[in-house]
Parts: sequence; structure tokens; C-alpha cells
Amino acid sequence: MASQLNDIALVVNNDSVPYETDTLRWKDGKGESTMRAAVLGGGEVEIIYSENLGTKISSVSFSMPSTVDSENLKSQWKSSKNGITVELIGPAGSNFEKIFTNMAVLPDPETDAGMEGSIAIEMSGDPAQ
Amino acid sequence: MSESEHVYELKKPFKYGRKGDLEEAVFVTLFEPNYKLMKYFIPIKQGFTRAVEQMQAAASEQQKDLQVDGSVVESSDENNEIADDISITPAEVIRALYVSNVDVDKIFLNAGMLFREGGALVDGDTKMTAPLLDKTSVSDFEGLVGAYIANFIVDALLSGD
Repeated sequence: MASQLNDIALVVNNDSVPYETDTLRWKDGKGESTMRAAVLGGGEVEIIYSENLGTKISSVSFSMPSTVDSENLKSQWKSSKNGITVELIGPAGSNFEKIFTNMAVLPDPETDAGMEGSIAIEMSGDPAQ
Repeated sequence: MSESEHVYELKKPFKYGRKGDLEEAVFVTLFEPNYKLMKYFIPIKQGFTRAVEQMQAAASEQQKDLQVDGSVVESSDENNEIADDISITPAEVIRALYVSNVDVDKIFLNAGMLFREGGALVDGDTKMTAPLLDKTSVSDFEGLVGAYIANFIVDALLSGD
């Protein structure tokens, strides 16, 4: 029986990071591909496959509750430029693990200081291993 | 390397993130405890002290003269050497803990916390966090605990500190 992928440990720079439920998202950075048809004649076509190498950038995004610790992490990560490693680790026995290297926080994250405020983080970097 | 530090070479290196890249951990630097680490250090020292006293009590029992058929059998020089032996390796530290009846689980838990709270750095500059401790093999963790006790507790016990 298959299990939903919603119990993932988020480890950033070797530290476990608590994040809000159902906010963790990622792209492996395999890039976008296109297909176009080349005419062979007689109604026949040949499909030409190509990869857009410029889109081979991974991304990991999640939201953290607005706490002092989260705010400090946000500042640290932003200062680290592209010196961040991110690991996504599945539950024990799942053999699920993805590692993202040379990640950077590209947008300027905003902190919401409301009662249930959060900090949205988006990182981009090398394709996932 | 000062006396307040000890370098432990990992038998089973693990991969970890360092400055954005994935690197293989080679060694762990252990640091002498300070006041901040007292609450984790005390149970470790207490447990090891008790294990040593149990070992010494067992050695003393072996050294007692035995009366066999009315005659006295003198204790062997080898047993005297065991009682007088004051050097102990990290592996012997671990063995002493396991053969004693001290709570080894509690010692290891406190050692893990001590390492995470500043008592250890991976490759000399990366904090030993919970995820990194999770990647450490059992034999290396035992080696770290043994090395910590051998380097920072044994000498203090022998000098009466």
C-alpha cells in the first residue's frame, strides 16, 4: 500500500527545521522539455525532443511559523548567499531522500507578525541528487 | 592540539552539507567540557566513576587470598597488575560501561546532547547537530563517547579532581 508523501523531515545546513503543514514543495531541477514535429513528408512527422538547459534549477519552498528562531534562520540563510544545503528525508523505512546543494534564498522573505503569522521561504539551486 | 581538545577520526565517514556543498566528514573534534555543559557532563562522569569502582571492587575480590585445604594461596602478580593499571583506552572505557550495571543508555543520551551543545565539531568547524548525530555510525558514536571519557574524565579521576 502506498503512503502519501507528507511526513518529510526538512534539514537545512544540517539542522532540522520545523515547517507548517502542507507547505513544503520542491522541484528537482530536471528542467523543462519541449517537443516539436518535423515533417518527413507523406503525412509523416518526426518528433524532435529538446531540453531547455536554462531551466535546470531546483527549488524548495516552505513556510515556517513566525518565531524568533525562524526569523534568525531567515537572516542566516539570506546572508549565506548560495551556501545552503537542503535535505528532504522521508519516514524511516521509506528510502526517500533528496539533497539540494548550493541553494540560495532568492526573493526577499517577508515575515508576518500576526497571531498565526508565518515566514515563506523559497530557495533555488543545483538540481536534486 | 591543546589538552582541551581531542580529534577523533571517523571509521565510517558520512556525507553532510558544508558551505553549500556535500562533503564527507573525516573527523570530529571533541572539546573539554565547560560550565555550560555541566548538566550533560555530570551523569557521564558519575556513570563512569561508578563503573570504575565496580571494576576495582571486582579486581579486589580476585586479589583476596584463598584458603584451600588449610593452606593459603597467594594472589598472582597478574591480578596485582590489573589493580595497579591506571591507563585506559576509549575501547576499554566502553567495555567498562557495558559490563557494569550503570545506566549506559542515560550516559549515551547525555553524551549525544553534550556533543550537540558545543562539545563536538565535525571536521573542526561544523556544529554536531541532531541530523549529523543520526548519520554517525554506532561504532563511531561509541568511539566518540569512549574518547571523550578517556581524554577528559579519566585523568581528572586519577588526579583526584
